[in-house]
Amino acid sequence: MIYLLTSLALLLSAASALAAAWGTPPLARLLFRAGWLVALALFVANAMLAQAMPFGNMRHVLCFFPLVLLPAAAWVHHRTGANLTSHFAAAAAIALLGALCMPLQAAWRQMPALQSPWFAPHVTAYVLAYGLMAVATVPALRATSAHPQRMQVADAIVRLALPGMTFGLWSGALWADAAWGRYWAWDIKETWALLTWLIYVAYLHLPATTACFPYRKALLLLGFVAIIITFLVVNFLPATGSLHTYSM
Amino acid sequence: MRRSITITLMLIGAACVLLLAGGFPLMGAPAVYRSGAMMLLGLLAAVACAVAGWRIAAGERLRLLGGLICVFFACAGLAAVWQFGSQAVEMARLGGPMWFGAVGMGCTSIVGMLFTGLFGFFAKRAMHSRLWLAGAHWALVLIAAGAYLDYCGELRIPITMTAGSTEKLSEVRTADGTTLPLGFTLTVEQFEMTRYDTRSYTLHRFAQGRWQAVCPLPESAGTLTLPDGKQVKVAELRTAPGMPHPFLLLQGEAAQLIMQDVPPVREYKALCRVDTLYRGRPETRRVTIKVNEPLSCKGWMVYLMNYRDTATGTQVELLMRRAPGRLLALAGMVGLILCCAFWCWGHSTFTAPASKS
Repeated sequence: MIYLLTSLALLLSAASALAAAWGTPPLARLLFRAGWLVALALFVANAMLAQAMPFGNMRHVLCFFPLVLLPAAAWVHHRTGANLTSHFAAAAAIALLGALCMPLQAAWRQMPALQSPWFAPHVTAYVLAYGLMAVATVPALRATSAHPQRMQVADAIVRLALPGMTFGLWSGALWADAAWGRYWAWDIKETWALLTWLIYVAYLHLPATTACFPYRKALLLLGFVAIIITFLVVNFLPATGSLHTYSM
Repeated sequence: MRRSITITLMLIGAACVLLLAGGFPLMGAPAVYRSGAMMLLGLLAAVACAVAGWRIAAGERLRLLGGLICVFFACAGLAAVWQFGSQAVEMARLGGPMWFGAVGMGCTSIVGMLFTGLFGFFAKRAMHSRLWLAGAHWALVLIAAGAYLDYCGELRIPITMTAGSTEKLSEVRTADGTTLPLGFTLTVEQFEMTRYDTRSYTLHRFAQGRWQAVCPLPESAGTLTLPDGKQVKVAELRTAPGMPHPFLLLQGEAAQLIMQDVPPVREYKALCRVDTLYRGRPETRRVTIKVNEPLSCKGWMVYLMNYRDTATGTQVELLMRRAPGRLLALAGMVGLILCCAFWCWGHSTFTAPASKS
């Protein structure tokens, strides 16, 4: 059932990205919305299986990822006027493809440290922020100094996502203060999260001038690499002794 | 580029390099985080943030101060809603005479809501995008100040106590042998641990002198399927003295065993008795400490870290913590979250030319 829903949501998201690329935005939006509804059903199924908010492992998070992308796409459209359905749908499809490759872990149960009111907002904020930042990389990659409008779109998306990333980082510290008895433990995952946050903070410090254009573009790409390391690479490295091992 | 921006970028760059040096997955040296270079960099960054906040708010510093005071009261109201609202719900669920308490706590949380609404409104009126940005810089200064205070004066003392015994804790010994009075007496009266009621099974094989887990076994309609396709009924598994969970020894050349897994821990909590003096009179409180719910008393925080079952009973691992900069750092974190959100989302927008897709 879970894999069926994941596959269906993946197909709809991929079809939406293709439809947008072939120049049929209404169909792309329709497919993206249908994919979102299937992703919602997938989230409910995951919650029923886990008997808790399904944010406890990487597959749960990847299944939740498409769910935040439709509101994010609508939000970006509302704030910037840019229609980025293809970018968001492609991001959803990649996340669902990753979820399909992961074991079901039906026996997963929420451990005591995760039973906190911070759990859902902390993970949701991070998923939303990282998803938006990843999407912001695409217009930044396509931007040139002759056509800086795409960089402005990327800039607007970063501004939308940074509060989510800030909330994720510092709400994690507030939660750690209650659960681990210290608000900062220099755990490898939180160190990389801070590094990622600092890269985007540096990006926002750079003025939006033609002279700074290449640096801003480079920082966005660097930020994306840092997100990949924070979100995925750190989890799969052996013997890092992370306190975040339950997020694998 | 302005010199201040250049300096800021250099500081952020240096912080990134140090974080990378410590957090690089394979060859990292985490000792760098507590090195002199990191301490100096943190100090420089805090000074830079303080100066930047001061300069950003130029001409409107009083307005910023008023706005931040309103933000503080709005947050205090929110904290009251959170704390007393949850207590009201908890008491209402207990029923009976606790309903009076629930109503009282509910009224307090309503006052908190009024505080949040009123001061939130004033804060929104007083602050604008530039002032939120200045506030974000000062929030970073608060975090740094709290972190430095904790670095210099934080006490973290792990304690092990036996649950249900008469063992009392009224003082702690630091790493350098100094004895510190707590100002209260702590007793762990009871310890409770519950597990999930899930059932899963694993195939074990005897190799190299011990039993080793081979693979989990899928269960379907009371039947387990082995890797070679054979099926075993769950009802065939039995318990035995010294083996609390059902198991089945399989026939064959290699020694193999199907065993029901120990279900994961759902929750553990310690019921503690705290004897203290309140305004010169003895007072006794009974508090339940859970993993995410530490006990706070007389400037000490008591955390439930772990437990061990031993022959003499359950050993409860506690952490006694006194952190002078904790509140400052936490206030900075809340302030940073708020200021960053209002600055980014309240920022003037633009309309980009609509692309094809």
